[in-house]
Amino acid sequence: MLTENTTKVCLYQRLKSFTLHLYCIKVYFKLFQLKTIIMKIAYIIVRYLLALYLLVSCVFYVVITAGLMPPPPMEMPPAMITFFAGVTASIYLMPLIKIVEFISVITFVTNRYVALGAVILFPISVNLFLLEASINQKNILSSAFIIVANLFIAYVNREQYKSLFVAKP
Amino acid sequence: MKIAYTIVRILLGVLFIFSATMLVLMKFGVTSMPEMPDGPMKTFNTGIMASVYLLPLIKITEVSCALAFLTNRYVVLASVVVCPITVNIFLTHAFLAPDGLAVGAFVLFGNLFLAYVNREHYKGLFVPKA
Repeated sequence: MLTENTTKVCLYQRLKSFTLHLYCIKVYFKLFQLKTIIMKIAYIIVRYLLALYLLVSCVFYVVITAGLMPPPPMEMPPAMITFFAGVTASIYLMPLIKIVEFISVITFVTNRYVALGAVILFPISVNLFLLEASINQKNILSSAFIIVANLFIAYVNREQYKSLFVAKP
Repeated sequence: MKIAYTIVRILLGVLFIFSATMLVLMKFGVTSMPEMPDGPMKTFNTGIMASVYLLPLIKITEVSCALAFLTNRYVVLASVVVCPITVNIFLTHAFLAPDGLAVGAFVLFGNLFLAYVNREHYKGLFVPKA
């Protein structure tokens, strides 16, 4: 009598724990789905924001160098002025930066070859961030956004970089 | 192909480590900085000096990639990481100091050659849709 009862209780508890288990899996799955959906939306938003920001800077660069618009008056520390004089002296650097930025903008907007676009943009965003961090701390937020967005895009596409991290080819 | 790969790897590694050592020696005043004639190259160098972070960043990246090249580990990654630097070395020499163009061209094409040898590993990057 007693043993029968205990088996019943046991069975009941097992069933309960089993349903609980199922329920947990269901909740976990829902949360997982939610996470992926949020990630996807964030990915789209970040991609377009970064593309927009870079595109605006490219357009401003082209308009200002073509002489259609006077450069806006900016307050820069003297180190920044010296640095920009150096960059302008090396004829090739600004066009190279803007062309690379424009290529990665195209990859971000069309959502094709995004992994490649994130890689070629990365040296530029690192340099922008470190430049602002070391000599012009006032504008650090915009360059911090660029580097964080770039790293986020690379993180979303991390599967594609796996083949780079092999010790012995 | 394998011999050329080894030679280019070691030459690039030695070149990067040599230039970094020279810079460190100049920093501590063991050897003196070569005098540079006035001109765009001097303006460019002063600009780089003004941005505190740039030269140490370049040299640290170069030395870590040189170690990867010399030990033959993570060469695939190192040739991507050093690529922006070699492109800039080549273009700076091409535009501002044509007498050093040979070294710049060797550095750039050596780097591209290393990447070409390991081209199978870059296939993951050239996928239109993830």
